[in-house]
Amino acid sequence: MEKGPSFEDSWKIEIRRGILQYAVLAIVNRHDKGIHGYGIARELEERTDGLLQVKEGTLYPILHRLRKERLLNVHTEKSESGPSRKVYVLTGEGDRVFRQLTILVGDIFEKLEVLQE
Amino acid sequence: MSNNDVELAIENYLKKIAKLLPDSFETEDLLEDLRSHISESYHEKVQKNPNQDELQVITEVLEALGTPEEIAEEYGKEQVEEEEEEKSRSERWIYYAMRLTLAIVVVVLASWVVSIVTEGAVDFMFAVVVLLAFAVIEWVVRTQQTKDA
Repeated sequence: MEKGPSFEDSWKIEIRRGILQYAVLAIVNRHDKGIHGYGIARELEERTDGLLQVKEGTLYPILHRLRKERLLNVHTEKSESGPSRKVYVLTGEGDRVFRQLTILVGDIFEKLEVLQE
Repeated sequence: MSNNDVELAIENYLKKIAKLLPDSFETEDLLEDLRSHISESYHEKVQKNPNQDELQVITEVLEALGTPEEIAEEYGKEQVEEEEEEKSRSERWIYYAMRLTLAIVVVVLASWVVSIVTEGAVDFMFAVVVLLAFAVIEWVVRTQQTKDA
């Protein structure tokens, strides 16, 4: 019988998706002039020490979703390495959502810490 | 990127992803993003380690991106969520339209009955206006109660 992913692995996958959307908004929020997809992937890896174990390519469907939700805007710029690249910036709505999520995330971790005591 | 093998590896990788995704504008957009990402990552790695084998570099770049299956899976999840939201939004509108139609039918019927029963003492149009006003008030109160709850 084929063994499925362990409970921890399934849990990690579920929790990672939500966090990843927030993390992307947080990184874009740090760059007033916007940041390109590769920059987001690199910063995500560096700032989280690889904790989220993100395959870089899976970021793009998320960026696409955030654009569709009008949380991110995009413009293109010339790249030194070849093809032009998209630069992502937070929209006004994206900024509002990010602030709200930041409060929510803070609350969640605070309550979880209480539960651990 | 001048190396043909490197170009070939990139094209094969993108073709595999394209095969797993629907033929749409979104897929084109995603492939364009991935191409640009590969180019950025490849050039950065080559600049850092100019002596490293180019094929090895591109293999590392593509591995970091994830397998075509992983990317397609993530893309599929995002699409499903979008479709579900779209569906629930349209279902909500259908529900509102049906409720409105039903309310109008009930108001017209009730006004007609009132007008017949009272042998014209209550004007049909007057009854329609009064009952419609009640229906609107009832809807506003119910919406408020739902919000409070």
